[in-house]
Amino acid sequence: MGLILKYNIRNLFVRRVSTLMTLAGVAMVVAVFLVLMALAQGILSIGETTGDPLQAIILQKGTNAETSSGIPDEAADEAENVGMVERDPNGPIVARDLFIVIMLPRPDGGAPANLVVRGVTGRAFDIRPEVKVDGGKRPRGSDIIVGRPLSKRFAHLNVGDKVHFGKRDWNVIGHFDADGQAWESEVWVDLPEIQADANRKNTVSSLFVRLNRPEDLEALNEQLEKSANTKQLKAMTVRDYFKGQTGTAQMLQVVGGFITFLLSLGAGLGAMNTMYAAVGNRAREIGTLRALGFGRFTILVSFLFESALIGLAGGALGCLIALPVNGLQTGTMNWVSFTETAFSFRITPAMLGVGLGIGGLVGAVGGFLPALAAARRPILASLRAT
Amino acid sequence: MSDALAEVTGVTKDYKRDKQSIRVLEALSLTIPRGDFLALMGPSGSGKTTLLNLLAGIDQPTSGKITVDGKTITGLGEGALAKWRSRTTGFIFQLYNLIPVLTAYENVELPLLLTSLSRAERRQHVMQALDIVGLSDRSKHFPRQLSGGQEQRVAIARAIVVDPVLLLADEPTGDLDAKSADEVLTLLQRLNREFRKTIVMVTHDPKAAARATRILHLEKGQLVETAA
Ligand SMILES: Nc1ncnc2c1ncn2[C@@H]1O[C@H](COP(=O)(O)OP(=O)(O)OP(=O)(O)O)[C@@H](O)[C@H]1O
Ligand SMILES: [Mg+2]
Repeated sequence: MGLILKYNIRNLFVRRVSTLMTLAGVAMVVAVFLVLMALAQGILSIGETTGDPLQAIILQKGTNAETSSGIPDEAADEAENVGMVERDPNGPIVARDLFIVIMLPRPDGGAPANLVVRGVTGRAFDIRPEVKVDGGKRPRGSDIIVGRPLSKRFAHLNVGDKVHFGKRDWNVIGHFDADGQAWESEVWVDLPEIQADANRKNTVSSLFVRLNRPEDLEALNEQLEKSANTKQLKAMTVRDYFKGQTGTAQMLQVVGGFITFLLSLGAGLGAMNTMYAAVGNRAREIGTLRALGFGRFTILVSFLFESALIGLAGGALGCLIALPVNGLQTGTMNWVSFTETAFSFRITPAMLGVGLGIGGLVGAVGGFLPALAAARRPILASLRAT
Repeated sequence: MSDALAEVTGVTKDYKRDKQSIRVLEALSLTIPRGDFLALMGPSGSGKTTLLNLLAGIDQPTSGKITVDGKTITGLGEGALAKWRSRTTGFIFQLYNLIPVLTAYENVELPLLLTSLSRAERRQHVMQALDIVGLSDRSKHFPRQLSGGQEQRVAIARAIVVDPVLLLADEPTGDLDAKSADEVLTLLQRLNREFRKTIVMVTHDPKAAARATRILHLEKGQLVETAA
């Protein structure tokens, strides 16, 4: 049926203007869809890429966020030695982190926003090998390091800057990357220094460990349960922890889906309009094809195909329009800690596939009634049309 | 097999318009022998096109029976009728009805898409049909690049490409200048004589009708025979 294909494609070129306008409508829908989904995907990927399946976080019971978790040193000391976690010659690899929220101005002088300061020890780097600091620097005393994406979103976070938070000034001595993981949106400070500064001596927010095996999570929790000191703690995988923090993404997906649906209605009506005109203009052609012996079904499929083709082309254009946002940096509010998380728009091949699919679907659905009208029209009525 | 290619027996055709029924053909009977070149004349609105459409199987009579090449087509289902049309009849329209976005070659190839012929076989048939109408050199031209007479000849090639037993032409020269009309009529005559095609042609033009072997006049739904 290559000839019928040619027939439909060439007709698209005959009515260039209406084809292009319909195509542009579909392209807009697909582009909006992709940008929203890229946003959601970017947020989701923080949760999906942060930590690895074996990494676990230990928090105070009754909280699901580092912000509101407090672990006294005695409990931390004991938890460190419950076993089941990865070790090196220096003992179990356990990072004791203190999580503090501070406020800093934007680079353009805009309203200040919250961000995360993490008090860390050397172990923080052992458990997170993905964290790579320029020149291998470590926070020490008043020297601090800053996630590179974050440094662009706040003032005073460039290397060499002095920044004031807590009770004093700190020196930014380096930027770090972390493969897009959540740490990139944090300022890392020497743990004892920030404990003193924030009046939180002898306490941390969380412990990060790496399990020997995934099944060990349950055993670890049972072990914590056994001692009075650690009874107040619980462990969960880092993946699960961050998934719980990316509710914005789910909301975006729902809202994005809804917006796409509404816009699709418009684009679908556009396609319907175009196809009704096409079917009307080609009535005699349709009658002729029927007289030659082509069935109603062939006519239906042919016009559906023509409409779907516009949709697909629109979808492809939409993908092209949306593609440049891939990798674009932006920030989102973490609704648990009310801090800013930097992330990049992320367009995956699967999303492009869905975008194309939406385009084709909008075209096919919009073209359905006109195609049906073309197929149902009696031969004689079609032939008599001028 | 009988001598008659088509047999129209007691055919009545009513059209409904604005809830009113109008009788276009009344108890009409007609035998078309094999190899006939029949010209159908008559005043406007007398039902010539209607009769042609019935013979072509693109319309169904209200009552009566039509048999073509031994097959009764009245009462056939839509699908069966479409299939029958694609094999048995070739239709030539007054306004050619070529598909504008397809080349002459592709227009002629269309009916062959409904057969099981291979691409190469289709090519052979298309080129042969274009050769018969004298337009082999125009196969890559689009309808808008052809004159009216050439368009009609491409349409004739399309009508004969499946080698149907019955050709039906509704005022095939109605839109053509005298010279082009003459070429088309000569072509139809040749199809009738050389290729033994049975042809029914509706025309208003006595000169065109004179090229046929037999002329019938349709008047108020009835047939009147005249010697050619
Ligand atoms: N589909 C239809 N619905 C209603 N009336 C119709 C239909 N087709 C034809 N008629 C009517 O039937 C009558 C015969 O029409 P037909 O087209 O067969 O005439 P004709 O002899 O071919 O005329 P002409 O020489 O003008 O082409 C006319 O009165 C016409 O208006
Ligand atoms: Mg007529």
